Amino acid sequence: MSMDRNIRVKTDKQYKSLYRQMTNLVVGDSHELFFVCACLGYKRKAREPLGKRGDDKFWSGTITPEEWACYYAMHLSDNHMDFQTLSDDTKVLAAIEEYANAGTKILLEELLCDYATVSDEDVTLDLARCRELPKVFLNYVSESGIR
Amino acid sequence: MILKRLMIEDFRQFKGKHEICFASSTKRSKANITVIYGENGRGKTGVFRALMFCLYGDRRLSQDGEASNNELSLVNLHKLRAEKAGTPVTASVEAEFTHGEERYTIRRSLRAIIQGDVIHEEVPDVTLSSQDANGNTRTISDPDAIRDKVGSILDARVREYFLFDGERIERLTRASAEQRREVAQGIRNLLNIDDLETAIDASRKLCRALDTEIRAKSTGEHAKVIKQINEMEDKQSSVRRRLTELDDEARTALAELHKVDKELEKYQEISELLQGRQALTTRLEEVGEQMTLVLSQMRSRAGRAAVPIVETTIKEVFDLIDNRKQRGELPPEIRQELIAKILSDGRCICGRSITGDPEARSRIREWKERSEDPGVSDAALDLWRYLHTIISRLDDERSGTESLLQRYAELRHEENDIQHRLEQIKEQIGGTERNDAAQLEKHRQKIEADRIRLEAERQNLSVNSAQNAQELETLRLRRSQLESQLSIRDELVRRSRMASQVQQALSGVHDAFRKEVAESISRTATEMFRCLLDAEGQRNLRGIVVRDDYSIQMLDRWNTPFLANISAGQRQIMSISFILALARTAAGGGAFEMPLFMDTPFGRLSYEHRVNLIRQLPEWATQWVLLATDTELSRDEGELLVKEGRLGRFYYLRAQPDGTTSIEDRPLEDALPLLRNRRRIAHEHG
Repeated sequence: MSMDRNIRVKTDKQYKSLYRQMTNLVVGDSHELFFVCACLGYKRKAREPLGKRGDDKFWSGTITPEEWACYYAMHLSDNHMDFQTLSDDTKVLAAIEEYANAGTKILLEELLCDYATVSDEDVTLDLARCRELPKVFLNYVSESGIR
Repeated sequence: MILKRLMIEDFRQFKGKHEICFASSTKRSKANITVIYGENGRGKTGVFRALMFCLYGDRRLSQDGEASNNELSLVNLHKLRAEKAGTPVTASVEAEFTHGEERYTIRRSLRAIIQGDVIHEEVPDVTLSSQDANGNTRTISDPDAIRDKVGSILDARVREYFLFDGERIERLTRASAEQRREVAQGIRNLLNIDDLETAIDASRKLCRALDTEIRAKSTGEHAKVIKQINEMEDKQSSVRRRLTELDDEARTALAELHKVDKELEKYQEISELLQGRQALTTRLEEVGEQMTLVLSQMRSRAGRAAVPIVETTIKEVFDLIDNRKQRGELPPEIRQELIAKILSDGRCICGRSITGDPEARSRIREWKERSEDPGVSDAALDLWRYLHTIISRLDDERSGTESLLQRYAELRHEENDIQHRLEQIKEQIGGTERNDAAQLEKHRQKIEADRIRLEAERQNLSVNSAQNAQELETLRLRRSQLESQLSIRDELVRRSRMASQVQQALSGVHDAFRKEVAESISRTATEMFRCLLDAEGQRNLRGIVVRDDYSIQMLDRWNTPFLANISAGQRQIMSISFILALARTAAGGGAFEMPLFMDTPFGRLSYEHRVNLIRQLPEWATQWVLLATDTELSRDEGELLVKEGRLGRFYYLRAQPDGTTSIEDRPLEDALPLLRNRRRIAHEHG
């Protein structure tokens, strides 16, 4: 549980453009979008391994201590509160990547479908329709915490 | 530069000879304010124009915009028309000033003739005489030598910072293309780094030429990455060019809009509607700015707002660790290693043997089982602390998110309401029988639509530009990795790398220099702003910052952007502080070594702000020339200037029956009765 700063966090390569566009538009940085997606996936108990589709997205050094604490809590809860399972941050993040991957899919289906063009290889936002997306996004995230 | 005297003859509105002597503080008197008082159109700005013409040969000021040469004729039109066609008239301006130990007199004149309606002006003549402390006099008449000499006393690039007019003050108060341009231009002029920019451009071209050669020789991913870098750089350049074009187009559209609005004002029957529309349009812009601000606040909150999604899990884990803490299991009372040692030695730390005491051994084993590994125990306690912080902030985070969403909904509602009311006004104006007004109105709507389109395109391009910069960085990193992996030590690659390093180093110097000036201006502007603010403003507002895109932002006491919420008076104080900071930076950080001309500076300022300005500014500038109308400068402000001992000279610009203006020197005791009472002004202006 050292909050390792040198791990490359991966996302599905299909979401490369989506992460790029969402950063600066609705969130400040990639790790924040990743956190939102991980929380969504975790809440819905949805995990999806990245397999060979994993693409390096950001360094774990950008993850905030608060986000790490949430990831550790999720991981502990999944592993019968065994603190020994927190000794390897790579494993913790690998599990969280699966939640984030499933969470991104949920986000696309429930919210971004009205703003994005989705293909097997890529997801692209239509920026002309995104003026209020920061508000819609925050509202969705906030309601997901209540539901 | 201390300005002593200005003599004007047949220049602009001023027919015949006129003289202004400027107040400047001495050992015996601190009076350094000269008031030039007159109604609109009497030629207050003409005095500054005369000085700029005399010193630099300027025929137009930046505020003149697209005005034609005929409109800006420097020779007095009345005199010109009175002469027989083809007879020349000479206008001249002479300025006397001191700089250091020397006294200078510069005189510039130009001749003009009128043929039909067209005015032809000749290239002006100029002479500069200087006298040193020993009384030695020297005269030069070579225009280039004079330009260099005057430039060494006050750099031509910063001369216009010493004139503030209402328009410039207004321009800086709105987050717009004009504001960004004004700030960027100001900073660029202060930097004085033309040579550095040429060097950056040259190194960029060299990099590109070398890359083209390398690409021709490279294969595989290396060639591909170089190609991508070149394409991305081209893309960035075209994005930057387009951004500049958009700013120019937005500025032109705004100027056109003001022109159309002025035209529309002629139609009296719809003037009330136009005024209403103007007020609504202004409010709509403010609401738009506030919405943009709230959206950016939402962006910085979106990540944190997801914590409640996993609240149950966080609390479960927190409770688990907390219970263990309560039970004394965390932190462990006794370290595992110590217990293991006691068991293996069979001896307690007090020295008593436990080998023959099975109960004691069993209790110690229980301890050992309960005791955590120290690493795990520390990790659990750290996690407890983090989770404790997160849980204690949850309610605040929730209410922060809710209030942002609510604020946005209110603004959206107001925006819809204003748009609806603007539609109604549009219909009413469109329904008028005046076809020409309707045409103008249609033209206005088109300009408005263009402005919205331009702003949307600008925002999209800004987002793209930031993304491109990130991608470019990644590609450059990849290229460097590839060149290391492939051990490419080719001479060409070595040269390209060096050229790239030179370019980056030069750009680094450029950015650092620009940042330093921007920070210095922000610091000085904040310092001045806080001196000028009223007590309430001082409590709530922290300062002014120049951002990377050259926009100006106001920070509240929590350091969050607040520009969209400040009052009109505070905006004006902000603009004045910013221009003063530019002037101070141009003057090298000390008092302004140049008379500061302020045209209608009080505008929307409250009395407390006016008092602060009158008290503070004479401390900052060596000379202050106040160009004021009767509604700007009331008797209250006049009395304050006298009471503070700052008012040195007072000139009254009087309209003559033939439409020209005369400059009357008024003794101070006669000046105050000329000024009107504030209550009367307020009454007359509703």
